[in-house]
Amino acid sequence: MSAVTEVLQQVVEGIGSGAVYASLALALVLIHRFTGIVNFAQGELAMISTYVAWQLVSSGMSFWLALPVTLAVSFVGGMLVERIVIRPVRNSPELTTVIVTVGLFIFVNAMAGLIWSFTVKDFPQPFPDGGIDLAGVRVDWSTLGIIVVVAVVMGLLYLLFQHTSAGLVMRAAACNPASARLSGIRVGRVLMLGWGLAATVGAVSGVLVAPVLFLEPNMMGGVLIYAFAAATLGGFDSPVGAVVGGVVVGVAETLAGAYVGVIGADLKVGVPLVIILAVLLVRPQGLFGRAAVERA
Amino acid sequence: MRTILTTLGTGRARSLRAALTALLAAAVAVGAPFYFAPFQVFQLTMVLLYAVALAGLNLLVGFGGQISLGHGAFFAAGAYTAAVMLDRYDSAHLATLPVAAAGCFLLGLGFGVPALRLRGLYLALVTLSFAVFLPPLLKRLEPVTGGSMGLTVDKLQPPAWSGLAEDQWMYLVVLAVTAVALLLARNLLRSRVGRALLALRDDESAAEVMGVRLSLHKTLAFAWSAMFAGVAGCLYTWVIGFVSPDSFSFVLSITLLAGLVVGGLASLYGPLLGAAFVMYVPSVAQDVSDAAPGVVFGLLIIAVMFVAPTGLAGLAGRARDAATRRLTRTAPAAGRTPEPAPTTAPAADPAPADAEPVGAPPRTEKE
Amino acid sequence: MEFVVRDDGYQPPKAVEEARRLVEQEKVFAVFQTLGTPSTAAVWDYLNKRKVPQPFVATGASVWGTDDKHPWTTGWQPNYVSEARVYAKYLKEEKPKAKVAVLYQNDDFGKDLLGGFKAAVDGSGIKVVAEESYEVTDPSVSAQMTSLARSKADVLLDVTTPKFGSQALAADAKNTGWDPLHIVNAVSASTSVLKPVGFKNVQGLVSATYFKDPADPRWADDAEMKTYKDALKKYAPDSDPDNQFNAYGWAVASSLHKALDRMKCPTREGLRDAVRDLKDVKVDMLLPGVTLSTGSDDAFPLETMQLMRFKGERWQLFGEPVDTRKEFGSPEN
Repeated sequence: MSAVTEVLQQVVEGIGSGAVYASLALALVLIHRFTGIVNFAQGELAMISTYVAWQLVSSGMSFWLALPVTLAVSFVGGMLVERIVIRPVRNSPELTTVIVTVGLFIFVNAMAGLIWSFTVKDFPQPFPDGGIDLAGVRVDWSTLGIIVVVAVVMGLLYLLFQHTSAGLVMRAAACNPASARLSGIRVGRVLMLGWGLAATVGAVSGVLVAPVLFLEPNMMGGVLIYAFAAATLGGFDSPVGAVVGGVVVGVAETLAGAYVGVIGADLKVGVPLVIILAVLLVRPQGLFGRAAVERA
Repeated sequence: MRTILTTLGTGRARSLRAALTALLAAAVAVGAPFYFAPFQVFQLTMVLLYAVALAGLNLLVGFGGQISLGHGAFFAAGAYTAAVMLDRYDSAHLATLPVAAAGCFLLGLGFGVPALRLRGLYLALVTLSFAVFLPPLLKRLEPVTGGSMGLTVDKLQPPAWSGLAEDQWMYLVVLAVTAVALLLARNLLRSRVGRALLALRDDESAAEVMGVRLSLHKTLAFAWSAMFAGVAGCLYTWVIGFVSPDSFSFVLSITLLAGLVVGGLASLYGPLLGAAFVMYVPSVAQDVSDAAPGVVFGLLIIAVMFVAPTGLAGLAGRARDAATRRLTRTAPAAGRTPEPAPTTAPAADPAPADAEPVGAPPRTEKE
Repeated sequence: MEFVVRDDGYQPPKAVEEARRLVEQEKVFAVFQTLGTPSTAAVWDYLNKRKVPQPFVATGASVWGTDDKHPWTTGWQPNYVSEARVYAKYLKEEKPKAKVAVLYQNDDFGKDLLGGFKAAVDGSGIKVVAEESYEVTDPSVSAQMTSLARSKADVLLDVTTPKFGSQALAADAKNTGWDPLHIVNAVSASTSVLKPVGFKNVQGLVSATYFKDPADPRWADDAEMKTYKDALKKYAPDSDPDNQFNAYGWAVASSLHKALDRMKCPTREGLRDAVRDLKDVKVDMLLPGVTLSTGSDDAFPLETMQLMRFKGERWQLFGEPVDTRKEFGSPEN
């Protein structure tokens, strides 16, 4: 392999990882758009949705039937989480909600371990094996598949936010619930919808990722940090930002880990840190975020 | 009933009660190691040192209104400073404390500078990324830090003249440091720095207009809180005698923040409650469900947040206020309705007579 | 025998707390099978100072045997250095000029095995041409695997823990441009790691072991295996007898049983001395040829392993058990 091909191969590798981070980042962005909070439990909720899918497939259901069932279950599950766990602390300081999500993280992770144990599970790969060869650079079908699905979800979310009234309603409900209520917006319904949608996007993320990372309760733990980095870089309000952020983080991390000797594979987690810091110092709202959503 | 409450509310009675409770608390605290078994004394010592870390975090988060999800990193820095000094330079234990404190103060200052440009969520994430980055970095610096195997050092030993056992001596030393730290935190809050922080938390623009130097005080908040965390880390090394990169993962940072909020944001003894929660609940959770203690721990965190959104420390005060309101409902008692400070009830309360702002960030509480 | 089990969450400070609880509150006789190098390293000073036996810790770090300041603590499973030597010996015989790429977990476990391997191939024709490490907090090792593939090495030495083992195997299988001899360390050799990857994708995988695999049909009529499976069915009906971890547990518990039987007096000192003076003790579920041996110059109970190759749907032993002490001397060298 020539040097250029090698670099390109690593870039493809990075885009693949980046798509994984982006998929979870999209769910994080959704939640933030709807509710204004950072949800620490997003990865764990995605993980448990994936276990639901796994359970269905193990009991004999075909993957293509299990998938929509899982998405539906996740949607309902997300709504229930909002209603039962998050709603009671709605009027408390923001930090309280964040800590509730931390508690949720711990709870869901332990639950998954309790029900399904911590051994690695085999998850069906929806994309065909093998890949294509572009001028010496190998691209797996599974990598392409993840990228395509992530792009589609990103597109759908973008349309949702920009071109429907739903987007506006969400912003209103998130920014100023009291005033939104006065305008006739059913804030409670909007929040539940937001959580349900985010859980569904998370489920998609988990199902995409499980064949590659292998399903176990800590599957999403490592991804979460990178997903946060991706969403931060992209600006927490923008689905396009989340995906761009994810790809940038993935590629930068992979290239730095492979080619910058002093960094190496062990310190490559520092790369997203440096990127975020740099971008935020120069442009605090992230690449695509709206400037200064001040909630005074 | 009214007369009793009125009498109890007078200034002199209040300060007398506060002094008595403080004395009682001090007696209990000092007497504990002579009453409890060594293992339990060890647990109490750990609670105290985590409380120091939480007191620092409280300055930044509770009073300063900024979020840090990376305080485990400052804790680790203090712990490793002490460990390296003990291991490589054969220092005396007590000598490591000022070094860890000063070093972490400077580290916090360094952090405070970029933190200026970052708000809320972004600051939280940057600090979290740093916490994730720290263990691999510690492993990489193997010649200094001992790499992934970590460093084992001598624990703090009682001097011969004291006649105390190892656990008792460690407890008393840590108790002394914790008391100083908590007092320092309290005084910081009462000083200009503290008032500036509170002003910034409540309304940054207004504070700036009134002449509060934004950048200076935000940075100072980081520095002080980092210092506290570093001191706690140093104490940790004295007590546990072993440091390794995996002891200080980002889980520690998240646990510290959760502990602070559960214990009571912006409350003076919230850090103690939070430290106790973080220390004892996971063990108790194991007794309840040895297959999945995390289930119990996670549920308890959520439950506490439901019942006491600004932490357990405020719970007693709010219960008291609710009880007071109920008792005095027939008589419209001006000035006895919920004051910000827990003042009127007989419950043991070593809080100072000053208003204790329970419940930090500017959103209004349910009450 | 009464077991009190406490979970330290793999965190050293919690390990210290739980060890103290066990010794001071539960007043246990001994602390058996402390899991994980960080936790063991965090508590062994304390246990030794309190003179509480810490027999058969559940970690293969070589330091438990090379150290001489902690007489109350002993390892059990073949340590990582010994294991690396078995692989080195195999390569010296089969592929004397091999170029080796290594994927390892960036902690004491990974570094110990890698260090042992490098020492064992030193001076031979075998060269380590590429090394990539990963952290347990990393989501995946695919980037590292891609880097390693660039080296076009003949052999891939895989020093990972289960989840990452599955990922590495899957990455290797997917990469049709690189087909090294894949050697996986014993920790990740369990079928629960291989199954998710697909058995057809791991044919020819090499590893080493020291105890009988319950899924191996060659032991179907073996008396020890029968005892093990019957007991499991009776006392732990929900467990999977084919899971190698159960077999491991049985073997190490039997070892403790044998050590207790050999105590000269039923005291903590008695146990400490018995554990350090085992002479070729045979234990149920260990492979034939593998026995426990310790003495004044040997603090490693198990140092013999046998190579196995994955064929069809299970591991198949091949060659002879390798006593690494006989072949290479003490791991201290």
